[in-house]
Amino acid sequence: MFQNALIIIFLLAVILFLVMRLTLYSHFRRIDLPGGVFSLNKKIMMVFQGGGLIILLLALAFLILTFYA
Amino acid sequence: MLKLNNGEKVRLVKRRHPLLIKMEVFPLGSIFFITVLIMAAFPFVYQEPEWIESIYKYVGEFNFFYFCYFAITIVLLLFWQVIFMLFSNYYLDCWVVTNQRTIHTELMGLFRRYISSIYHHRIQDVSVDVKGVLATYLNYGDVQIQTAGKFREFLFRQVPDPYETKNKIMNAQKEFLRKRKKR
Repeated sequence: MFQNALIIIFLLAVILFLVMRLTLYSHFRRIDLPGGVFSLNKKIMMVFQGGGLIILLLALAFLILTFYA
Repeated sequence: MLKLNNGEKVRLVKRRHPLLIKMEVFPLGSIFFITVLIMAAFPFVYQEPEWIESIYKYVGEFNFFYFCYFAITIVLLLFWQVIFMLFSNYYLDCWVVTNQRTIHTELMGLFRRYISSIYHHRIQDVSVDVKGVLATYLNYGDVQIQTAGKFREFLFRQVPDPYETKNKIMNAQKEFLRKRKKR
């Protein structure tokens, strides 16, 4: 029961991250102007995705260790 | 997709004063950083609480140490997303003055984006409003463009160098009108 609850929390966090990633990506992708107005778009998305994925992987690792360490 | 017309060139790009986003992000960023430090120091100070044995009876055995890490990383993920949401909100709220028009893009919440533009010949007046101690010292304020007709008023919110911004808009307008007369 407790294990299932933690798995559901983790899955909700994954879904939230994916929704956020999709939303930000669609905002950043659809806006561009010459002259470097939005030149950081790709970098912002890369940092957001990279950092978020690292945190999610850590969470997954700790979730597994919680029950199998 | 936002696109410029033929022969349209960007003259000025304005966002809110960087200090304002720093003031918004700094508390969350600090909490994020402190939490990471706590995570790093946690193994050195951790002692399994005595009451945990009583919980094992109900939910089964689990490693409380790693459970704490799991909970912290989930909270970190939420902070991470909020920080990026704030930053995106700052970064995508933008005023672009070109040689033909002024474009305003604004992210109003997660699922609402507002983009509008006004050609320079419609501008009637540009006014500057610097309000408050911080705005006076740091030289930021609102620049309002009043337009002819039923168009929504353009408001550059909390932009740095509002007087300079006003001058540049006026210059872009003069240039645009001069070229228009020549045609």
